[in-house]
Amino acid sequence: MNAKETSTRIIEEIFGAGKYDLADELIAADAIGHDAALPEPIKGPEGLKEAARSYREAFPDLKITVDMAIADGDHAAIRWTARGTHKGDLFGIAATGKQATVTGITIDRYDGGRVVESWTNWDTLGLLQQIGAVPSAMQAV
Amino acid sequence: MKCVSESAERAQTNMSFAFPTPDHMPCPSCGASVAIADDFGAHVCEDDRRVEYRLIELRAEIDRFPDELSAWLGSPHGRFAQWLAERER
Repeated sequence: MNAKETSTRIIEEIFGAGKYDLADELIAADAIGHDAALPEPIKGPEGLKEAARSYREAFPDLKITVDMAIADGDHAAIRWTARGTHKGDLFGIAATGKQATVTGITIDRYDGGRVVESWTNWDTLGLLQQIGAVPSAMQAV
Repeated sequence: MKCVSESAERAQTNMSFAFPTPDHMPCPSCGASVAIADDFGAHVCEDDRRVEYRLIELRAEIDRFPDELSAWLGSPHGRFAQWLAERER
């Protein structure tokens, strides 16, 4: 399995389908994940499982599709689209029942066939707007 | 002495900015994610989703219902309604 395939499986199968055990196979024990939406870095396979669980508990029907994947040396980058219905607590916001669609980009660094570091930036503001936590349009007076 | 002209001040006051708008927003009736470019007019709500969305919106009321029903049944009106229903059964 090459880096593009691995990065795709992580986002589509672990985050998008709840196959948490896959993290043990694809994520290095000392891996660090950077997601600006989370308060702490994601550490190792267990950290990734916890992050994926938290998103899936907030969005139980979460589905993620990879729209594009590229690789260069020991790095792979994927652009993805996620869709799910807000049925659980998210960042302290109670379930709204609203379905949201957001996009994001993840860059993974590999060593020995496993991810050792990742950086994810996704449309956090768009998600908060879609579940009604922040306004989607504002005019200054 | 003012360093900024009145017209510049007015321009700054009247300047408006738009918050970024996401590509998708939830349908107000069923909560389904709809692409804004597609226009909500083209979207058709699924009955199951609409019901589920409405139930989530009403969950506070639903949670309170058993207690409120018990309180009402214990009230004079509630006790009379029970008596009348039993009589008319």
